[in-house]
Order: sequence, then C-alpha cells, then structure tokens
Amino acid sequence: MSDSPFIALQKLNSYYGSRQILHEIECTIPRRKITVIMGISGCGKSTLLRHLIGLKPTEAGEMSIEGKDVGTFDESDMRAYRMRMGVLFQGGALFNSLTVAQNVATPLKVHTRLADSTIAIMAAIKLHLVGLTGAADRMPSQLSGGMRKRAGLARALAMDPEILFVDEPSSGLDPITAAGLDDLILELRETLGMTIVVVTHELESAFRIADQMIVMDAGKILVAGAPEEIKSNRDPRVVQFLERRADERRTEDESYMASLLGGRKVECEIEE
Amino acid sequence: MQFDVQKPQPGRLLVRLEGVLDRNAVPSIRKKLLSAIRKNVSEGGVVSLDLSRAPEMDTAGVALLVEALESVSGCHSKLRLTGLSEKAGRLIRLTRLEQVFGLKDASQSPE
Repeated sequence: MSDSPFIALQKLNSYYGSRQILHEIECTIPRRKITVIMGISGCGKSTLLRHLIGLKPTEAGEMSIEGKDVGTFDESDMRAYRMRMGVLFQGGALFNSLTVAQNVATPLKVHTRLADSTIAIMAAIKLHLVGLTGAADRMPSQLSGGMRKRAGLARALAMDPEILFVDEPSSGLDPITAAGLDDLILELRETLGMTIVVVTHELESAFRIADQMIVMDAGKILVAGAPEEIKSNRDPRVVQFLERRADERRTEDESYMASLLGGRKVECEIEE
Repeated sequence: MQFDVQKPQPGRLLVRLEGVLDRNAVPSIRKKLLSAIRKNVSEGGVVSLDLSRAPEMDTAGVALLVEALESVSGCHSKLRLTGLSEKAGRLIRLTRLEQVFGLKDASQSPE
C-alpha cells in the first residue's frame, strides 16, 4: 500500500455539456510526494483538479483512490475521502462573515469533538505556519489578496490533511511571500509526509517544489515525469511552455481570415 | 488511546500515553490529563508526560501539549516530556514550538 499511488486516473474524459475538456487522462498521484500540474490557462488543469477533489463526477474513464474506484463510492465514502483532504482554492474561498481565526477553526468545529480551547490553539498554529499570526482577528475583507490566500491555506491545513490540493498558490503573492509558501509546502511533505498536488503556471515555483510534474495542453497530458525529465523534453509544445513563448497565432489568423472572406483569394494594395 | 497516571512521590505526577495522539483521541485524553494535573499538581511540582508509546501525533496532539503546559505553568510547576519520538519532535519544530517545549536543535531531545 505504501508504494501504491494515492490516486490513479485511467482514460479519464471530462465534459462541460457537449464540450470535451479532458481527453484520455492517465496519471497517478504518488504518496508523500509533491505533484505539480502545469499548463497555460484553459488547458484543463483546473478541471482535472475538480475531479481529484471529488467536485466533478467521473463520467467516462476511472479514478481510483487507494485502488478503489471512485465510481463505486457512496455518499459516506466520498465524505470520508474529503475528510482526508485539504483544499486551497484560488481565491482562498473564505467565509466573509467570520474572522480569519474563525475561518481556520470552522472545519475543526464542524468535523471534530475537540474542545474550543484546543481548536483555538490549532488555529493559531496554522496561522503561524502561514505567517498570519497578527491577522487572526481580522475579517477577510481587511486582507490583501495574498493574505486571503495564506488564510485559505491555513484553513486547508486545519484538519492535518493526508492530501493537500493547492490551486495557484503563488498567484497574487509578492516573490518573498511566494517563496515562503513554497518552503512551507516542502516542509509539509518532509515533516508530515503529506501528499501534495499543486496546480500552477508559475514555472520557478513548480521546478522548486515538484517531485513529479504533469504538463497539460488542450485537455491532454503533454508529458509527465520528474522535473529534470520535463526540462530535457524536446517536444515543441513543452519547450514553448517552458520558454514562456506566446502561442503561434498563424493557424488562428488563417481561420480568422477564412471566416471573414469565406476562403476567397483577395488582392489589395495601398496607394500613397 | 491508553492513559495511565502514577504519583511516584509527592509533587510529582507521571502520565503515560499509549497510542496515536490525534484529533480523534485528544477530546477524551484532554479531560483526563487536565483533570489529573489540576487534582495532583501543586506549586513547585513536576509533571512528566511519557510519550514513548505515543510516537505519532497530529497538531491536535501538539495543541494538547500546549494546554498541558499552560495548566502546569498555572500551578507554578514544570512539565517534562519524555520519550518524544523523532517524528513528534519534527512536528513540534514545524509548528515553531520547539523553544516552548525545550527542543533546542534537531539532534537534541527535550529537556
């Protein structure tokens, strides 16, 4: 069990209505490792994350958790899976009517029988971990975007999850805070043996923290492997992504012209 | 989780914990532990918490240790942790509480 993957996906296809977002996704999320899912906006990485955290049902293909097909999960199996995970959503997803400390305490109040004083200490620990000790009594509306994100991470860690999903941890953070968050993610894996999945398009952060990388493009996995394998991959799309080059627009331009001119050959010149 | 209390001599309390000190175990252990400290510890006393059979804990366990420390300090007594596992020590360091519990560096056991 210890060497088997925490999560495995086989031929996962995903749709929004009739539009196919993910195509034949096959990958594994190993235990006690940091898996980074990368790709440009719209490549399907957030949809993949929604499947991994059980927010989007598996319509075609299979997702298994510790060898058990999620398709066979009943309500209580899914609840048990969710109890084992922490999720940091992009915007932090805080409760606006609660203070930062109350936000962090909420999962513990709802899901455990711990005393209020124990919960208060645990919330303080988690806020200290993300560098928000001084913000415990503030309301989310009084926080910057980066602070909201860190508060969201403290809440995701509230229950000491076995698996942590983090959506774009560095976006909106200054470089020093972002590097501190990377350090914390590495420390969580080292110290607690946490399984961590990070969705990001921040290359520097990704290569710093990843044990395994999955690069996506147009709903497919372009390549998956260790960071050094990704770096040495010569696939033009991978190289283009890693070199942060803008997408080739020629094909799009051609179809744009065709839509305007119906494929007719035209000649035009400007006389000065 | 198993909980055992001994009073080897006046002013001294020995508490042994056995099992996983996590969010499931802490609620019941907390009542017993804090009650034992309140009833048995007087000024200048020492509470020894033997964790040699509780090598695994989560932050609920760390929070309980903080509560025990608060309670013991409130009686002007001293808390001594014994048998702290390397894993538990790492967690205490992660939570930046190593100084509170007297862990000075990674290679050192608590005082």
